[in-house]
Amino acid sequence: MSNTSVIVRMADGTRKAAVTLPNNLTIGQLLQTTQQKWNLPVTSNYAVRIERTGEQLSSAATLMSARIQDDDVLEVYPILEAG
Amino acid sequence: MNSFVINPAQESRYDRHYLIDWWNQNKLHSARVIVAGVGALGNEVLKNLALIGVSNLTVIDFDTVSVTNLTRSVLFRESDIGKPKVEVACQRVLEINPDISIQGIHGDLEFDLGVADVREHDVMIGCLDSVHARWVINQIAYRAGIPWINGGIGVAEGEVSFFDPTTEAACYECSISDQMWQRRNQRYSCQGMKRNIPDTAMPTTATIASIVGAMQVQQALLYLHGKTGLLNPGEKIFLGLNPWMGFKVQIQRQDDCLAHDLFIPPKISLTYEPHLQLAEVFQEIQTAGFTEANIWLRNEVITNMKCSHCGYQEKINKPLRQYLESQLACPKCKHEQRDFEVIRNLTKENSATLKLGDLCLAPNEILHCETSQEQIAIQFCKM
Repeated sequence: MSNTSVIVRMADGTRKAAVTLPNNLTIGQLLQTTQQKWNLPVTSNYAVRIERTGEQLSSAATLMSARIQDDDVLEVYPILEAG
Repeated sequence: MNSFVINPAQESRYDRHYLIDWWNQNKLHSARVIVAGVGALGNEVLKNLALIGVSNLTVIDFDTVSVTNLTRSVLFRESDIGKPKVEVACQRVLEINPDISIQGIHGDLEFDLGVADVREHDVMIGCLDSVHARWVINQIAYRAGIPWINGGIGVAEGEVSFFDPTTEAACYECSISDQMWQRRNQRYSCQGMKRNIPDTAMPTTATIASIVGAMQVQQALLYLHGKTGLLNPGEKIFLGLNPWMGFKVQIQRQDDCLAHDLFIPPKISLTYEPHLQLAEVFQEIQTAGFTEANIWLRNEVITNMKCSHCGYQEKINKPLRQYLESQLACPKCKHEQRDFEVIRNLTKENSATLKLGDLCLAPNEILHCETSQEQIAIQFCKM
């Protein structure tokens, strides 16, 4: 199984990490780990976009199916529910 | 010497709009817009729509004004506390612009807004405060074939997204993650009844509500003028005010998302009459040339409950998702559980004793119906 090296960062610039991830990792798993490691509020939901393409990624997509490339920047931002 | 007086042109309300080369006030005058939710966003959206002169508005909300709303609800005052939000909003909107027409529905978007009513509008603006409510409006929009504009706010962040069922682009449901589904499903029991979980107070402010509400109305304006420039279908803008950030994303369309197959123009129209027997409805369907009809309700309905302990029977006739789990206990003997019947779909055989009034249909509802020939839609028109 091959890996991909990416930058994961919060959209507000408060957190950033260079990581190497397995290609079969899902975006949902990535978000779960990110939420735990960075102590993001558990009451909030988050999404990921590829900075290069502007796509918001489905939580079920894997790094491979989402065509994530080496050195891609994956930005994490909250899903805003209040209205 | 002849003389004449030059009268200054009478100023009109929309004079500044007429200076905009692409602006068409007549289009806004005839436009019909639904606003779902009269919280912080809904207040801003309604204010802007009224100022701009969008002249046919429908607004729906089930809630009443509370003191905590006043920090970010420009239409509400202290004297309005306790009153239905739609009632106050309608009154204040007409004070802003007496020339528009506004209809308020004090009810639940999920159960009190019929798909056919939505179809009579050009666009919906969602000013909602939960994933579930947004899922509901997405379902209604896609059944009606009408685009909708979503807004969401945080403390200093906001998002606006646009969904159009007439395109192949992603819808809101495409963006719901497994985690969001799990949190949404926690609000309902495994039997589908509503759990009495108090709503989480979400921190937010008037400033971000103003910006997001304005962007939602701007998107509606562009759509009504047939213009693009802000959001294409399936796109979302995210912005932050502390620190500043702003970007646009394309939401990925999910191949297995069922919302995209919901639009079916009605083939049969029946006048909604609560005492109309379902047998007559099926007869009408057959007369129209469709056989072996199977009508699916948009909202499942609990018909009867029976206590397995004391035998007490109670006629409920309420949507399952509206029925509180805490009411499941028998009111007579207090036994914790009761057996209940739920209607999900109707066939000629299983609905022999039912009337339309038993189905808890929203006014002007459209239901889908499988038949031997094809899948059709039936509109139940209000009288």
